[in-house]
Amino acid sequence: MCRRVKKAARWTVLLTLVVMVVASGAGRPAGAAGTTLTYALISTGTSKIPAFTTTGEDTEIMAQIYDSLLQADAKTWKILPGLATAYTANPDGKTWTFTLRKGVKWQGGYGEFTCADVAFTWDFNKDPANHSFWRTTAEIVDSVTCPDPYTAVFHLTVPFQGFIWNVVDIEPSTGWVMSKAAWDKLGRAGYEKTPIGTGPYMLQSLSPGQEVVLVRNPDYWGRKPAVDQLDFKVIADTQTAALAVKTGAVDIVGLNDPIVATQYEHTPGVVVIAKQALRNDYLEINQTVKPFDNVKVRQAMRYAIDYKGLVSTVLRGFGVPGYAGLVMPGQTGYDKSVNPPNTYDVAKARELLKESGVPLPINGFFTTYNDTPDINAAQFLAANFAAVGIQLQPRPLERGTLVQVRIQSATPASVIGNALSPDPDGFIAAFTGAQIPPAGLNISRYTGIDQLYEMQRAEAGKAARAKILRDIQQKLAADCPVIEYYVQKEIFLTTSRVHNYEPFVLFGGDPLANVTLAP
Amino acid sequence: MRPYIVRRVLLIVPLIWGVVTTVFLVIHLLPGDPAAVLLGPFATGEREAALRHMWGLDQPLLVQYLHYLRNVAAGDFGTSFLTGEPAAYQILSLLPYTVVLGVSALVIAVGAGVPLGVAAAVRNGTPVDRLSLLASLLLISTPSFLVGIVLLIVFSGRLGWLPAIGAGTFVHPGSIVSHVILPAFALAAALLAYLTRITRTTLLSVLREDYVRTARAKGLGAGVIVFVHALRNAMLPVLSILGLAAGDVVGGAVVIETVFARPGIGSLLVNSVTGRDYVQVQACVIVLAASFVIMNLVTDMCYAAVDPRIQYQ
Amino acid sequence: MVRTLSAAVSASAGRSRLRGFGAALRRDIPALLSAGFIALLVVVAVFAPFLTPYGPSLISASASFRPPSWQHPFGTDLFGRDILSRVIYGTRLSLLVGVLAVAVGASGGTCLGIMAGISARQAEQAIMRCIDVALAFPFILLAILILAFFGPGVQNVMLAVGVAYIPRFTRITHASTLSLREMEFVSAARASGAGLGRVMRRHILPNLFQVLVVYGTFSIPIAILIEAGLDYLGLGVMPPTPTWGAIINEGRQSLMIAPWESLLPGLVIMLAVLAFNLFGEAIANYLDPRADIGTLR
Repeated sequence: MCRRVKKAARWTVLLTLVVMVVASGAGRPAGAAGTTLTYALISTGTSKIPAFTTTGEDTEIMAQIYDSLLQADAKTWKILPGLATAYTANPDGKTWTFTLRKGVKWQGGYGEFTCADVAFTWDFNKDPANHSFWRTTAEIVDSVTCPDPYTAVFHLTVPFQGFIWNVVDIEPSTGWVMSKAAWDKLGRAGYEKTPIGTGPYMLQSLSPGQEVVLVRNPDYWGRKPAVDQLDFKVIADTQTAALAVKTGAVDIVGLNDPIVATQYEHTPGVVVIAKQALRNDYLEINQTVKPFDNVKVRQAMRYAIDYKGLVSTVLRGFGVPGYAGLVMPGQTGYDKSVNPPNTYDVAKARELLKESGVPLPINGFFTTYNDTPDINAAQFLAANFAAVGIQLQPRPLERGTLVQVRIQSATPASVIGNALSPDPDGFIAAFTGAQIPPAGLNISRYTGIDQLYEMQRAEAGKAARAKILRDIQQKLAADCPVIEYYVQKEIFLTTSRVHNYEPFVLFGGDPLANVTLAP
Repeated sequence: MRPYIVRRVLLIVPLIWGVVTTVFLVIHLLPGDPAAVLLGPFATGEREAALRHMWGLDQPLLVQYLHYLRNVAAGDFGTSFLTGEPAAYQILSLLPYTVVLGVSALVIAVGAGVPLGVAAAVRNGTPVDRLSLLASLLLISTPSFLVGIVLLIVFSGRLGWLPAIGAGTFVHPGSIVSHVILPAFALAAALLAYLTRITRTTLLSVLREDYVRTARAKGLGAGVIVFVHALRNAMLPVLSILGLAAGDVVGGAVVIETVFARPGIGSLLVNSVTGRDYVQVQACVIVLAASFVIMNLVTDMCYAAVDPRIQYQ
Repeated sequence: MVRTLSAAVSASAGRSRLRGFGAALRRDIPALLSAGFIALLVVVAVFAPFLTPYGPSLISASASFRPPSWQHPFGTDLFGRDILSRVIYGTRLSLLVGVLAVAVGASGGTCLGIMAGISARQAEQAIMRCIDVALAFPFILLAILILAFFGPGVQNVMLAVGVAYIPRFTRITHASTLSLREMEFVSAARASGAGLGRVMRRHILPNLFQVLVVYGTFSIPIAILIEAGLDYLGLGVMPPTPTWGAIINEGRQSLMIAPWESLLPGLVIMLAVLAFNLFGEAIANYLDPRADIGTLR
């Protein structure tokens, strides 16, 4: 009796092993003709029409499908020609003329790209009926005129120097040009299913929540991409995504998770790329809530944070401490003399609290996203604040709820992250009175730089604008409407077969058309 | 027997209506706002109001409910807020992956759990029995996601034997198999241990019964006694808990699909809950609960068919 | 489900039963060890602030991810927090969540179950059909739904798991009430003129007590495991609150560089669940050796 059972057990084990071995051999689908690059994303996004989405996943995919008038170099952030080969700006800074590339064909046989498409895209974003996310950005353009099919003239409402970044392929995604002919024929639903661009890749299939497959555009105007097919696969969990790179199931993953990234720094076959990005994380403090109306309390909080410890633990060294005046190196007009990195000084924090006359302990809470590393940073900040007698409990919320809570002013303070443009205009706009909720998300309800902001926007002289930007940084550093606690690096893991990959750390998509795969 | 089956099948209708209603009510009372989620950091009051209007969220709850009931009855679960696709479409495209996972887990649990239980019962009191008892107790006591992560790290991270993530594609059946092994084991672990214990306990008690003693006295071989007489009777309680175990498998799939980043109804549900995608959450929960109800029905009927002692009016 | 208990017990027998259980426990070494471990957990939970070497939220940037040592027996986490201290505080919360959730489920379920058991047919049908609907949801699904409604947090997890337990307890107590109602000693009591309420209190509740103790003991570890699962899905307790599940979950990201952060608290959960299971079995065996413990899930 026992023998038979034993035998059965042995067979079970053997059979299981056989299945496992067979299955692992069959694990990877047989290589189809051509090369495929697999890129892990946390979702398949919400829309592939630039006007209707703000997610990073959509941006990554759309960057491969669409082109913009100008492109930013992924490495140097220098502005290069795109759909436009040259541009000039009038001295008054209000009229910008672009010479368009000839012979560029729309995907799907929708004819040649001309100025009519450029005018259509901007009008589309401006039209209130369309509810474009980029309406405010687009409204800076009064009109786009087409003297001939290959010339586009932008007439701005104000002489805005940062305008050039609005026609580049980064967020705000007003830059990506849509096809008028395709839109007229397909309508919104059709365009959503088959987004038409002029870029190196075109959409082949989209399975929501699972996978987006792009194939090479045979009519692409630029250099022919080396990789035939791009597979964007959904992997929500960072640990799993990193493992997938290690096993070769995925070639590239953008990993906003320093703890997972450190685990792979010495793993053979995995390359860790960390690039200083233009994205900052800060604690916004509602100045209408006592005792945070007292500037000394806010300053004390700024000194109470152990920035180096924060960067070394929470970011595992993938970043630097934040800046007092919020604008950061790499952005136009950054000035170190008035806007140095924040420093940790508990004695000074205590002194400022004493001067403020606010009785200790201060009790309350602040909100944060419930993802890493935000939630980790929040815990670290809470412990630092507690050490000087400011007892603020972090309250982690899911993304949508946090936005809601912020708009409704239901939180005295909140941890928030932002991706920035090389021109600081859009970022500092968030700290003006015009952006106080419900109009915008100036949760601090700060109004100290309103005048300076308008001045820099209307200033046509480079040096003069730099001077105003300097004043803005000085004022922000003194008034402390928010505390910028760190500036993260963007982290990417790739398999070692990936070459010529230069991640684009501005809020745009990586130029995957340049990537080559070693066999 | 037949009236019993008819009655059980008919009872499913009000049961599923109850499920639909419960889910609708709970979901619509959630704090949080799908419009704010979709608009992200660019949300303003005006844009959100427009979205809410588009989705019909500004209508009275009763109107929304009646509308929803009518649509569900017609097989229309509505349009997902986040993807713009019909919710039923997403469910249908992901259902095969969850079914593969669930069935594999059940097969592993029963296929390994019952023989192990038999082995333990047959060797009652020996170190093998004690070891299996301890091992099964430990497995029952470990959170399933921890089992999943450890399997993931050992078998695909360290050893590289099996793929870490995803579910493969049905174009390559081999890839479906290789992708389902680790998650299926993680999902089956606790149930397997549990079945081992149940089988052992019931088999032991059956072996003490009179008819087994009679069989033994008649000089029947030990193997015949265990496999022909005892096991058949011992299987009854095992079968009766499989219906409940189905619930563990359906619920466990939610966690395990998240661990292994597997496409499926469970991971879709978790994403939809955090995304406040009401329509999709409703569809997922209804489908999961309905499948649980049906699995329960099927096991109950098997039980009724197998056990001659049970009478049904 | 626990089927009808074969022996009917009256309330007066309770005290001697307890003494008998003590004697039985002394003969069952694993159960004795389990009882000891549970007692230890309770002591740790009660005296947590006096037992922790460090504060559970005390950070130390320079001590980030230290492996276990004499200084930090369970090692440290990302923030340099002492994991042993967090586990000790976690014991308090996890036990509380487990026990209170089961208490919520048991009291709610018992009320409903008895009500259904003694009510008129229509009311009984109404209650039990609602319970059928609730039981059509797999356990964790029900908890997720409820938690999504309440939002995250310690009390909310406890409530969600507790409410999810109500239908199960209702069904069990209902079944037991029904069978007890038909029993001779109940009929005898009713025949001798005792009111329905008195019969319930004097005869049915004490007998239900037996079922409840057994089912409850087995439910606590499951509640603890469910709570850990909810934390994993990001729907449960929020950091920096240290529950066992939350600590393991926080360590999930650093499993490869700091495995101790997940594995040692995981071991504690395993031992605790094990202890509750073994102890529950000892109780069940003692109260009714023939009870069908197998189906207690």
